[in-house]
Amino acid sequence: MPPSNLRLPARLESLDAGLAFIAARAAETGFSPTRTKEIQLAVEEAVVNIVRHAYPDGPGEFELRWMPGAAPGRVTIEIEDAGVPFDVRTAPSPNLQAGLDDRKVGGLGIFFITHMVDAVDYRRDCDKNILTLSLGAEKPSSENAGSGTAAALPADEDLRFPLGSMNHEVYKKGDTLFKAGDRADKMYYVARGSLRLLEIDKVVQEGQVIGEMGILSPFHARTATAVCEEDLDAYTISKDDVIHLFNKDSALAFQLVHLCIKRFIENLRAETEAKERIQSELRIARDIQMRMLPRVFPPFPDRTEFDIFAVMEPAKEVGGDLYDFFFVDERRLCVVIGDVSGKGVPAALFMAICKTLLKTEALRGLSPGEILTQVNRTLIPDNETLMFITVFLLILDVETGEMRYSNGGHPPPLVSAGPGPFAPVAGPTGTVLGAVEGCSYTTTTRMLAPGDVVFLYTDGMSEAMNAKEELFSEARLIDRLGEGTGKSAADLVRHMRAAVLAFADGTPPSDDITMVALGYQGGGSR
Amino acid sequence: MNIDGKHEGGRVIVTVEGRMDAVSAPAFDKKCEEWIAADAVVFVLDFGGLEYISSAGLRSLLVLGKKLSAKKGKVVIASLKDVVREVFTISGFGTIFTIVESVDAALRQI
Repeated sequence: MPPSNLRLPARLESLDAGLAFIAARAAETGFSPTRTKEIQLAVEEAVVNIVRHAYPDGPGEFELRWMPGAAPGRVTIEIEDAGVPFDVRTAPSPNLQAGLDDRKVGGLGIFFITHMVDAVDYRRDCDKNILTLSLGAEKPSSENAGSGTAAALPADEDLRFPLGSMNHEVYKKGDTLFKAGDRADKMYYVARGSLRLLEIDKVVQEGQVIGEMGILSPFHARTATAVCEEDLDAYTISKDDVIHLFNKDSALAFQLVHLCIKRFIENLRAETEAKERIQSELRIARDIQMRMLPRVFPPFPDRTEFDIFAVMEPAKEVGGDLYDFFFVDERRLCVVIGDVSGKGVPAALFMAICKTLLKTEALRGLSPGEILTQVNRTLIPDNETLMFITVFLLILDVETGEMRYSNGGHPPPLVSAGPGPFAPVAGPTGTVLGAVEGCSYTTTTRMLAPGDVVFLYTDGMSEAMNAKEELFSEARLIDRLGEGTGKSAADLVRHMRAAVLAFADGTPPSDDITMVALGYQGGGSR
Repeated sequence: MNIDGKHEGGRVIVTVEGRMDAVSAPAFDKKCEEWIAADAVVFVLDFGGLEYISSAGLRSLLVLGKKLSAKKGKVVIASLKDVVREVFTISGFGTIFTIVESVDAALRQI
């Protein structure tokens, strides 16, 4: 058995020996003389390319390997060199339609390789270029052969673009091909390099097509921004030329439509998955956020001095409202309500910080004004997002009914004196927390009598809107609270929730809604 | 590759036999240069005996065609055979040059 490998110096003089080797192997395989010449043509073009370009700095070698293919009658030829990296598949194809005067000398070799074999593959392995030609006893049938409309470079979905009649465009790493929203007037075939679609974080590599959606869909705007990850060689074709192409090469046109549908489905799937992932993360975040707030009622079953109930309903999955209550010592109950500027995830994160800070400061035994002053001081240096929070914080001595409170920009809670009407608590409303450096907050004191109720709320409640764009308003709040005389804290909150829902009458809330009802029942050992 | 030519009054009939590849094409270029230097402007290339041509051979033909075009001359190619005809077809060279069935047909054309 003669050797099926042949190693030769990378010189033109080696060509005869190389082609003779191919002829001998082809004859053994039973290929026809015509087929043999076709294969020789492909091998010659590859070898000449190596001889001319692979070793610019001196002598080198190449190796031909004739190997049985995957099926009977199939052959794989490998052509290996240790020269400069070169993927023949990325070579631009010649303009086959140019006349004598316009026709460029050269550029046909690689075109021939692709026409004479079924598949051309390239890999760079251990600093070697390895070109693989897969072929059989017959030249691949090509409807495009001779028509001059298509080069045989493999592309997306085996699209065969007429690169010769496309525009060659060169971009540098970091260049932007187009931005989302730009008018889509052409599509790109990436011959060399890669680019990234920022919005969908997808990399488009050599041999792939991009921008076809903009051309073929009814929406003629780019859906994403394309930035070069490496230096890029692209071939572009305008919308008009694509239409022209449809007339000339219906097979290619069909493939193009096919590609578009495939892309569309892929995009849809990716978007859906991303959306579902975010939704799932938001559900978890909502869960975490809700767990941060005391939700077990009654929270202190042994305590008879007061009755408390609270709800927080985010307008989105997560919210920027907060409430909290805890004992700072044996007798004193701290109740907090707050509303972070903005909504959604940023507000939720800021809310979590604020809740922790407020509780930490409160547990140090500070007065309400001092707590707010201190929390504001802590928030300012870290607050580059310019978020802020409104806070109302009260500390109730459950023995005596002494309520001390401080307000940082929050709607004043409504307090009823016994069965009497609700009215806003007195005292100054300070600045929101996190906005102004060095603010100090004052503490106001008010005595609660048994039967008094304090109703704390966020403006999502008072500013709840109906279809006529009327606000629920503080006045309505006070009215409806009046109907709740004698109810437990839980029933009062439920009553108010129902009132606000009835008012909105199906209009979805635009802000988080939070309510805390605190009924003072008197101290002592009852 | 064997090249033979009869030059007569600015017209040369060239017979090319064998293989026109990267190794042999320079010899074809050299011969053509000589005929052009001797004022040949019309080339009839008889490829009846040409068995093989690669891009290097086509390159030689393109260079010849361009040179003659500049001198208001022309190239007519006769008797393309199997693989050579195929290469002309897929490369679009069939439309660059006048291709005819035989040398006689070529002479009638001129």
